Amino acid sequence: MNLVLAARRSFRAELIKLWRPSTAVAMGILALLSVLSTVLVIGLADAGGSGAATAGGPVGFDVTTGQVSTAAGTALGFTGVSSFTGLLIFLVFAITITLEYSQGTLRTLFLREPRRLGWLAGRMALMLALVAVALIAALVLSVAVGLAVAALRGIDTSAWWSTDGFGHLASGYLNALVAAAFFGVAGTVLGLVLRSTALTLAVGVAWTFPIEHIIQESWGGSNRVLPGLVFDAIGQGGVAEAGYGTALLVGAGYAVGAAVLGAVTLSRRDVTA
Amino acid sequence: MTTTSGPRHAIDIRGLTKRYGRRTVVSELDITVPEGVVAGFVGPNGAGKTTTLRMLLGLVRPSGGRGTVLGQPLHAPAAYLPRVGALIESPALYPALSGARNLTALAALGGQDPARVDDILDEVGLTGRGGDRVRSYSLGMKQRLAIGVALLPDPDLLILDEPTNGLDPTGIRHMRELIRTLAAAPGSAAAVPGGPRRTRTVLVSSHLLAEVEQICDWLIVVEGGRLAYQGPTDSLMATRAHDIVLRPEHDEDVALLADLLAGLSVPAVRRPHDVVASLSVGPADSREHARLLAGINRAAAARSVTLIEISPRRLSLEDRYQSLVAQSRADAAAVASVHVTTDLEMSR
Repeated sequence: MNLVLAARRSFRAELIKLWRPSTAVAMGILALLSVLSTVLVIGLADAGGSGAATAGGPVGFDVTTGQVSTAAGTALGFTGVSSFTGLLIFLVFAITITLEYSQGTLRTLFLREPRRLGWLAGRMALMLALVAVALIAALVLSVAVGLAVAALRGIDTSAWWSTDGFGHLASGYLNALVAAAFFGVAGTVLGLVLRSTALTLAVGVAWTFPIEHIIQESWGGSNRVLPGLVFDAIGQGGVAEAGYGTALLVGAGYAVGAAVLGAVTLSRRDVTA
Repeated sequence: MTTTSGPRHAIDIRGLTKRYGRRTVVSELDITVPEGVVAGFVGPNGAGKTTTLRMLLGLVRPSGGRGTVLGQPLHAPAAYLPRVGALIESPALYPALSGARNLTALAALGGQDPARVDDILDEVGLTGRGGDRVRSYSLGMKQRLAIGVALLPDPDLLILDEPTNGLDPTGIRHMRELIRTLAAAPGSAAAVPGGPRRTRTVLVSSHLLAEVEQICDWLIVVEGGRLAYQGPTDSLMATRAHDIVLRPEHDEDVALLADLLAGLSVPAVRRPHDVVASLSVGPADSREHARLLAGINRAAAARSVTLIEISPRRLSLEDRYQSLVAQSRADAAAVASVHVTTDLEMSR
């Protein structure tokens, strides 16, 4: 009960802290990425092709106008950028938590709220709520821009307004949200463990991008095992090497493991910052 | 219902210890701070002051020790921290937020009424700057805002770690006045509706001994992670009242006066304009003490040395502190020497 109270207070305090222009800028960048992806996906789609080929399958920039005109086309731009969205969220979560160490504000916070896990839970809840709002904004903008670009290219978008189309939008949004949450947890926990912005970013970015992708080139099974690729697969609704169910299960395992590690680290370690 | 007698203690800790690997930073420290005092916590750099304060505040986990803070167990900081306000080391605030926003966010986190923010800004002298971003504040303003954060819970115990660090003389004076004001103010609301408000206790660590001497009525001195002194400031200052300053009319008579004291077997330190004599013949107001002083005066007059001043030496806290630290180091060295000797004997 005390932890719930601490989490509620933490949520309110973090909301007061984050209610400022820089938060809106970060959310805007996320939406802009989505818009950019939509423009590229639909604007550069190859003419012709059939929609059936990719229905429910992997989504990337290699699409045809036929695929864009299907019900699944409505979320193509939004889901196509999930890797970058994940990286952005990882960076934001990692930077904000490590700044609490480098600025020494963590000790100020824990003097006011010594129930550390409650504080962390409230903070994560608020940040994920902001991510959820940012992703909705990104989705709406992505669809709006997608309609405009499709109209310019003469692509029929009537299927987007079908029940199936809205279903694709909803599942695309939920997958992006789950992937974003997992990336956020990973960024936060890495920050809690390393307690240094530079080190956290170096390790996180190096692992998620060059290292995982080098391994991916030589080992097909890496999409089902390596955390960054697994989270990415969730965001895309599953990929050829890792089905959605498998990716979700493995990703959830990573997220839970990371959350436990973060909780133990935060509650056991001395605050010397 | 239990009835307690004797003085109540805001802090009552026994055997507080912190080890990092094989290095002991704080060793078996006993701290007692009576309720309602302004206690000074002094010691050289690396003496373990900040680590001790962090342990009291639940930021650092003690390796050993037990006791209470505001009547609650040391190992349950969540039980007493809502009644404690603290500033540890440099002020740690959000530079991109205004002073008022910092206070509002931290009030929300601690469950305090955000309506108090304006009063607190006024109390720490930041009324006109509350809306400005903290990054535009001077160090003195940041220190005052950090004290404002500490005041959010209307604390019964206020812990300030080096609150004058980095401040200019004017800032130091303002901080001293602020601490005095805060110490004089009552603590949180009564435990029983209609009952008396609680008494506020202030524990302040500082390197500036002159400041500590001026504002603290209780003193804790640590050296090398160990307790060197604990008790009323007055008691510490009174322990060397037997030092007497003897000043001759002419500086060239200082040497003669020093020889005269040596002849009377009175330990003395010769200085350019006077001699400091240590009279160890009973309390300062005793007949023996007065008789010895009169004898010195007569002997000086017999040698044609006219004394223009005979006064108790006013020792500063710094003098006492230096001798305490030196004594503590000598004691530690002696203990270490005994250990080495014992180890050598054991190895034979």
